[in-house]
Amino acid sequence: MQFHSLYFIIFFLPLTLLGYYLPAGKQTGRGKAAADWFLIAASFLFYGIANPWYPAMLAVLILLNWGIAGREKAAEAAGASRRSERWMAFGIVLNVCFLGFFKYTNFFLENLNVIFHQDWPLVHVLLPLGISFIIFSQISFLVDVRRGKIPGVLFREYVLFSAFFPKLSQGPITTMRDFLPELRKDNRFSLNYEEMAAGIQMFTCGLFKKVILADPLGTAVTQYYSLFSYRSNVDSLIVMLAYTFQIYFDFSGYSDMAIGIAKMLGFDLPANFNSPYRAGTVTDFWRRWHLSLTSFLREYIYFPLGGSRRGKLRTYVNIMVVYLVSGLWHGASWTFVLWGVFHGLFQVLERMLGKLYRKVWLPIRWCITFYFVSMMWMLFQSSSFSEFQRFRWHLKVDRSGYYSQDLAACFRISGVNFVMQHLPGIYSDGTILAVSTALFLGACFVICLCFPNNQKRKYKVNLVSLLLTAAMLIISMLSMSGVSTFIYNDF
Amino acid sequence: MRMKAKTWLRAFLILILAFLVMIGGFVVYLDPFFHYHAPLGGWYYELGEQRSQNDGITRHFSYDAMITGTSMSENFKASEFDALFGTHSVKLPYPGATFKEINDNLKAAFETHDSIRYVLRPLDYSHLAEDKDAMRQDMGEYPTYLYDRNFLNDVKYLYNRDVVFYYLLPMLEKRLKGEAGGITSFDDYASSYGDTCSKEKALEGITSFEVADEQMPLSEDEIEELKANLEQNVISLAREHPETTFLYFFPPYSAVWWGSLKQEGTLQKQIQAEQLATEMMLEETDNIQVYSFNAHTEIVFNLDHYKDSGHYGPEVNSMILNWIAEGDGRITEENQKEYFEKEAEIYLNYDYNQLFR
Repeated sequence: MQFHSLYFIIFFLPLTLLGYYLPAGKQTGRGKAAADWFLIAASFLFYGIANPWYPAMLAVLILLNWGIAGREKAAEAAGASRRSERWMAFGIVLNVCFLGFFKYTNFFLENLNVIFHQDWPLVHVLLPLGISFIIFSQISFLVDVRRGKIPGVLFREYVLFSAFFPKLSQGPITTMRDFLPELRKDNRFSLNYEEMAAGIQMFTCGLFKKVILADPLGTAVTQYYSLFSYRSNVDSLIVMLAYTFQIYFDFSGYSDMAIGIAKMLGFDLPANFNSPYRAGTVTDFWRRWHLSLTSFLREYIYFPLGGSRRGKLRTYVNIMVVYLVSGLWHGASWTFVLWGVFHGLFQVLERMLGKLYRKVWLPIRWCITFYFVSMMWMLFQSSSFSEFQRFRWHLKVDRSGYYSQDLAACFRISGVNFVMQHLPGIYSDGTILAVSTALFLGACFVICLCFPNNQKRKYKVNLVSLLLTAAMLIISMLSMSGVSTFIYNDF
Repeated sequence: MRMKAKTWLRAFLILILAFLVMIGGFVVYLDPFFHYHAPLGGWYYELGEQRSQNDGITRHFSYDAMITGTSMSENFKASEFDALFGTHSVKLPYPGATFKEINDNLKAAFETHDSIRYVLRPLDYSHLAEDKDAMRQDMGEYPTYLYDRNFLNDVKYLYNRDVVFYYLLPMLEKRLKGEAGGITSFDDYASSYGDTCSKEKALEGITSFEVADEQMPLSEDEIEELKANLEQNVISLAREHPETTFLYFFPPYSAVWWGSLKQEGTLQKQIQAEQLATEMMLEETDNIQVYSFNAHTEIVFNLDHYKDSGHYGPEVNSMILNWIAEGDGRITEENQKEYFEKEAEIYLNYDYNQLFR
């Protein structure tokens, strides 16, 4: 099930809130436990609707990791620190193998075929929804248990941490260290009207971003590639912007919804975005984009490797390792690996240039950053490096300046047609569509650069927010017929 | 204006519930896709979404004959059919449909109607040797919520942007303007009368016809697939309903299409498939009348009747209706051998480059 489905909004979410707050409202130990188990059951149902095998897979992961964490704790309690560390290492390897089997088996086979000139058949492996997010959370759990940072975790608390449906399929990647205080908040089980209203507003903003902004942009991208060979430089530039905005509205929209739902249930999940397209450097971009992943990679890879404390060269190597892992985490393809490597290289370059680069006038640095990030998104979404190179050819070499109508039609705004009909002069359909495109993409820029970030702003409880939220929810609900899936589902 | 969070929540819930009840209620009451009931008097119903509206028409309309099939059936006029056969028909085309999709719709018709006298249906060559359970997955999201009896997924119909803005609101507008109620005529439904048909359109993108070195016959697997497809999606229903006459025809695609087959080396295969399907229908049932119009070379070789290599103009649909009513083009057990020999002779031996002259 997806957050942007009518089933979720009309049935699943209201029933879950009801089932959670009704027993919890009694404020007894039993009532609270019943509420948590209800939430766990709802989470498994949420996951199971996507595929009935997913909950079984999740249950296996939960039991295995709980067992390993138990061994870690027991060894630590017996004073056998090395044994505890070995259990942690075993757990990490097991989780990585789990992820590797589901996500990277065919990538591995494809590369072996190329290296050894073989024709070994690829295998059909079901890729569980959100597996990369789940595995990273599990690894952080095992490491934090070993570090003794999460004492006395109950099995119920751990299962809820692992299966909590708002963050299950696309994050934010949460550590037990951050989640445990939320689980143990005194007031979690009493309905907080302020938090509920804020959660609803946040969820609605995310839904609107996904359904009203990201999906038409996604249609344009699909349309562009359906006639790839015929595309001009203008088409290519527009689709590069379209994809850059699509992936942001799509993923940040999902995160808004996840954080909003969690808020409705009394949990505060960490923010995942902080207006990333305002960044003046690529390093700054990664301080604003997918914060929970950056934070995980910093905490569990960059710091253990020594971070920036072991000299410049080692720092550069560490950065490259982190972004190599990040690239590979995003997908089983060399395009993702290259995407990670290029992001790492650019940040190394920024570090090498140091103050010299920071002295460059901010608007110029912003343009360089935005262009680099956008170009890298095109690599990210390309099925192969040659496809990316073809895109670059269309962008740079084919200078026909022609803007395809089929692409422009994806940005059609009904009102623009009406307004232009009442302006002096006669405008062709092409002109109207070009104006619509400019308005649509212009609005995207304004939202990204000028509006306060959904995950950082304060939500007001007043008449304006009431009417705006209701209108946005109604428009989004009516727009859901035939909408697409989330890009980040496959990661 | 600041307000208490509790008040905000209450007001929000009331607004959303009001929206859900009002929009949902309107859709259920007016039901532009006929999912719950037949059209109401006094309202005008626009027909235009074939895959969304056909199931409702099938289950809730009153009729005793059906014109169904792929785009090859879109330009039939129900009124012409009724005049020739004395029926009260509905037209339910499914463009690009597989045999299964059309058969599923026919089954729904027989489940809800017990007096269907005629079914008119083209049997497209391209779908003959196809998996019996194949459905088109490449034509967008299928509105399964309109075909099953799961009330939960009806929310996709009740709160659907297209239903609300392109059907419900225009219905209200027409009603408020005092326009007469009714429904789009089944002559016009799904038709493409305005499309240009010409030799240039039929030959678009083709500069010459090569000839394949060899014309391939159907493989064993293809034969099995065709038999299973015909049995499940064509013959079994006719067998279950001996009271109904099934008027099934092979649509007369243009000579350009035949030329392309010859170029690909699949022409022999298509004729063999058509012949095998015909044999099966004639052997297994008495109530399927099989027609083929490929011997009408004055149509097939006159490219001005076509808007592409396969789709003919509405005048050909009218001719087909008249031919069927007269029994012209009917294949029987007696004439089938002779017919297919003639068809093979015409299409295997023709020099398709002559079409450019």
